Amino acid sequence: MSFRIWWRDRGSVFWGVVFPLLLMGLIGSVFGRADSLQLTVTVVGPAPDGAPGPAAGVARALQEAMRAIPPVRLVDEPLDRALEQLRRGNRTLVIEVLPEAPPGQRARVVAYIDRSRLQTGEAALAVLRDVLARIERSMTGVPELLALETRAVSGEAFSMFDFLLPGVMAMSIMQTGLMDVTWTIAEYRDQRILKRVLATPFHPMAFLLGLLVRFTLVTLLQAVIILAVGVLVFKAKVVGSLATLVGLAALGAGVFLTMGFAISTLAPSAESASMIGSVINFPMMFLSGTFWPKEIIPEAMQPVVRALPLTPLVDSMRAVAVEGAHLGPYAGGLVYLTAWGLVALAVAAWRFRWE
Amino acid sequence: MDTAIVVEHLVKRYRDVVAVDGVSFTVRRGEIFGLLGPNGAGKTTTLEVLEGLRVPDAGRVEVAGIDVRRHPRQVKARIGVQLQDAGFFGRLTVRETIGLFASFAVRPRPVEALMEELSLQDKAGTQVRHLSGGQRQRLSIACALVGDPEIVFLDEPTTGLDPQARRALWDVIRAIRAQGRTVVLTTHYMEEAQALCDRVGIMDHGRLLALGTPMELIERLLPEARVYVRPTDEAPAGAGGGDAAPPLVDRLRALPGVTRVEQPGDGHLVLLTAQPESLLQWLAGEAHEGRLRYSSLRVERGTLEDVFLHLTGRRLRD
Repeated sequence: MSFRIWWRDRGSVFWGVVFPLLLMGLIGSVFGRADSLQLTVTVVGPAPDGAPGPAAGVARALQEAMRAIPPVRLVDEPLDRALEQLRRGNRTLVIEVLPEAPPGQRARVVAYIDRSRLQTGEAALAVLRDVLARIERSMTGVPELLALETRAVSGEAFSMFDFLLPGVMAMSIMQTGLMDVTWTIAEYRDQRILKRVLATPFHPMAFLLGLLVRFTLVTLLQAVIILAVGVLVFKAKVVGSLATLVGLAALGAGVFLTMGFAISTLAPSAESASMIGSVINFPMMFLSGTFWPKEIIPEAMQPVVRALPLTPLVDSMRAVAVEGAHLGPYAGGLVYLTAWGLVALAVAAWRFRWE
Repeated sequence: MDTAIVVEHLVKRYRDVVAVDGVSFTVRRGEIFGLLGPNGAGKTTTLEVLEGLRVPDAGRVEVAGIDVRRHPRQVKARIGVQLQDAGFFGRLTVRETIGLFASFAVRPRPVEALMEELSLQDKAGTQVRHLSGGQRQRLSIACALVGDPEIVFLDEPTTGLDPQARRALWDVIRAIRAQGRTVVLTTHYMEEAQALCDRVGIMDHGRLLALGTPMELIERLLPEARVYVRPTDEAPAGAGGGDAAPPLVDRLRALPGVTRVEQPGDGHLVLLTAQPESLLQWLAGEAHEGRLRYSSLRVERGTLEDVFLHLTGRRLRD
């Protein structure tokens, strides 16, 4: 019965399942490609070919070395055009090898990066430094003394969707609690549906409990649909245990729907209840690291980030999904989350009215 | 036992407002009992105390032989309740809704039979939010009947319905009585109480002003009949002898038993009298003698509306 109510309410299906998936798809495909961190690089030599000299040699060596690095796409074009493309965000790095300096002086290489995309720019610069160091060694004949060997820790590459999936699941759980539950309970009260039930011989507490179970199941169903679509359609990888992930989802569902319940008891009408719900919901959606690493949020906001109850849920779900981590280090956060749930429960029990 | 409900000195306050102020009445088994009064008279509060939804501040309330204050859950198993404009789960169908309330009941009646009883079978698969006002009200009553109750409480069951739907609902309510159930309803429509209820209690400002069958109340509180007469002309020429007869109105006023003569201005005279028989006799005699002619003559007893006016000095406002 409750699933029918959920399914027939296209609004809650949309907000609970379609919207999170859409967000995940959008964000994933726009900002994604973290798996093939692509660096588009242009190397501009001192002169259009010919004129062989040290500088041209450096440019050629750079081009070759860059071409040998898998994530680098090398584009051959004149400097002005390359800089124009860099400004448009189509190049990660533009390298200009300046013409011959007076003999005995260092060859000068200028790297242009886009200041608005500092992260990839920095990554490209790191590659460049490495390449330059190697070229210098080969030119000066100093043998390589240290060998750096890199081994991927998780055998599989990390994709943007891997990162997004647990965040979006957590968001959907919170959203159902703060928006759906809040509105529904307040609406049932305003419409006197609760009172109608109270007038039957059915035990009123059993009815409330049933409502909570219904919302928990609906929330978990939504989370599982998002998980399935994330894995099957967006090819997100879940490293850790699915059971732990679903367990965390259940804990989150319990906490956030109790919060929704509490809000509905504080609000005088269904409309104001859903307003309060949204006011709490939206900042959390963006500040708890659901879509992007919470580290990029300005330092001044970090105390807020840490205080939000969604943050520990996102952190622990992501740790399980992406790293296959144990919950040990996240226990504190989860206790904090549970405390929110208990406070909400107290408020709900204290303030609940049938009409 | 033929008493379904006993209410003694019921008092219910909301903060400093006294909603129900010392009300006492009994409802007999198998009757349709109506609480009648304007909005805010305390009808709904009285009903909600009987239904176990509100705890009274004072007084004794017994429903189906059970003390409601002490055992509200037991009472709820014996009654069916239709609340004033209570909503439904809008996305469930009619059949699912009745089924849901059947699952709340102790001994549920079959859903299909109930839908037939309330002419809802055509709407069985319709989501509740698409129903009309009359259909919603019938669904509401179906949910009240699903637990096979001895006593059915209907709070303003016909408010907001068009006259046709209202009359259809009266038939539904009479059918409930025919099944041997007791019906307690509230209404602020006097003609509804008069047409539907076996007994009524008239409430105003939290007090019960009068109690009885509609006819009893009218006879007790409005002993006078109203006689409407429309004379065509006063005295045909030559009939009354030489001397001028006094005006008809004065002659009517002088008659024994006539307490008042009203002239609404539409050609009618309205006579209030405790002895309508002698007045009619006199009118017939005058006509026979050729001293008076009239085009219409009508005798009416008062209505519950007049009873209310008589009791409170106010008209019921809808």
